[in-house]
Amino acid sequence: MTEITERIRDLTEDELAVLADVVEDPEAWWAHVQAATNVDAHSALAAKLKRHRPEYVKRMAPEVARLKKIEAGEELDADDDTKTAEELDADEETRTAAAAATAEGCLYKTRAEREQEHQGSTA
Amino acid sequence: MNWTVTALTEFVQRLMSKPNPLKPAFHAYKTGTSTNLTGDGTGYTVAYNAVLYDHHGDFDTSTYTFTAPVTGKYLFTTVNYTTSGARDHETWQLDFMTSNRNLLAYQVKDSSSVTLTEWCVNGSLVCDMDAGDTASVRLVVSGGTKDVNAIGDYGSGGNSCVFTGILLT
Repeated sequence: MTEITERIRDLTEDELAVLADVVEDPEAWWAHVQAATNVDAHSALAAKLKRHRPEYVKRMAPEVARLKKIEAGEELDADDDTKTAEELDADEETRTAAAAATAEGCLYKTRAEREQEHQGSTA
Repeated sequence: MNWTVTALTEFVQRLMSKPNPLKPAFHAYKTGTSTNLTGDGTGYTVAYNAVLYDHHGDFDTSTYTFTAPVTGKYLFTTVNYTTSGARDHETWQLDFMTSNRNLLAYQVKDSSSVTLTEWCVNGSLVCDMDAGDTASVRLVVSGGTKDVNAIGDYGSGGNSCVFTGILLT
């Protein structure tokens, strides 16, 4: 099997997050897929993300829900004690998961997105 | 052309009996002997450096890795003839290393109590693979001297380190 050396593109943060939930080294997996001649890299990436994103979104759902509460100014439940509000607000993984959930068509929106929508509707 | 039932049946049977060249299937094997590969816990990716057949061109004999061309369930089997000088090893372990997960295929513990210096390490599993995922075979022998060898040929032209795979569904 011959290999090409040209790199098509880098993975986005969202793609990295979903892939990291499945494979040990997402960058290495993507590099291999781009180099392999027996698969179409774009199709393989799209199919893998489509197949594994639901599991990732489901796993991250509790953290995303807590982030949503914080951004909405709601109080956290007593059992929401895995991370403080500040820690959660600054948690990159949770924010990426929120973005992934949005990409999947879930209803979650970031504060900035809600504000933008609100401004748009009142203009 | 007018088909009779008998002619049509024979035609379909002939078609079905032919191997499908597009269906991924490979038989890779190791040539020669490689020495002092593991024994002290070092992981050794078994070097299958030749193929008997590779229908879809999915096996890379320079990295000893199979790349799945389509998503599906793949049956992998492997046989590996190994030898060692010392009898001080505690664990022999064989794994299928796939992109989605690493799968234990064979393990013997406390092998130092067995006075053997030759082991045929076998394993087979059905693995869930996505298109672009890879699969290889890793041997880890630990607890002793790094003197475990992989024997590719056992005489009479036979191959004793083999890795095969086929797409099931």
